[in-house]
Amino acid sequence: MDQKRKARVLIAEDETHIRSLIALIITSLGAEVVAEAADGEQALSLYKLHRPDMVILDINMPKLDGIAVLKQIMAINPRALVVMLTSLNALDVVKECIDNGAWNYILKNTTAEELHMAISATWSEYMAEIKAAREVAPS
Amino acid sequence: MTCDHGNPAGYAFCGTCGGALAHVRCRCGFVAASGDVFCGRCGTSLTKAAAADGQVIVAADHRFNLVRLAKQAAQEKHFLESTHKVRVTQDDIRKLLTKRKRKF
Repeated sequence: MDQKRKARVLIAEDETHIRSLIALIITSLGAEVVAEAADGEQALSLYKLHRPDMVILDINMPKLDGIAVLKQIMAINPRALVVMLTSLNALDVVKECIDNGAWNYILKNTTAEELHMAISATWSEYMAEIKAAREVAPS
Repeated sequence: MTCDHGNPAGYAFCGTCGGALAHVRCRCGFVAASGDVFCGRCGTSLTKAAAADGQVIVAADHRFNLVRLAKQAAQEKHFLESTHKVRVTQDDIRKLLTKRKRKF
């Protein structure tokens, strides 16, 4: 990940062991896990509280599902970097997430190495996109 | 359920104490855990399915509601025959993302 700036990440995942694995990957990439949520409602309130740079978001979660959380996060911040991490591989679900602003959609049947690469690539791509947008329209 | 036994997905009753487990049944027939929002087999929204499906198949005394069961079976058969859920791989998702990449 970007060496100059440590990315702050929120992990929303109801399964503890998967959450721990993602946290481990995030930390190994040099980023910081600012908060971990075990359900959708918690994810949303932690997003509002911490305003992380990246959200790793599961779909099948108690209280509020990941798609509803994604929609609310995008309503708060249309530039939010949200990465869906789920086992759901139905095309309509994938499309719904992308249409609602998810930056990436990673299936859980991926290996830890692939997950590592996907998260790292997502961050680099997002930062490059932000940089390009700033060059086009400097504030 | 009277014990804390962790039962595998698809169980309607506890394998240890025999207690009825809280579960949601998808239209495709899959028995999902009570907290699940989407079906683990077909990806259908379980909240919508549950709203449309008020009656219980297995009563508290473990007796099956046969009329309801037959209706459920007919619904599942129809759903499985009429729905073609398209499954995607990570490669398919990558292609989709390239096409629809968000720009700032």
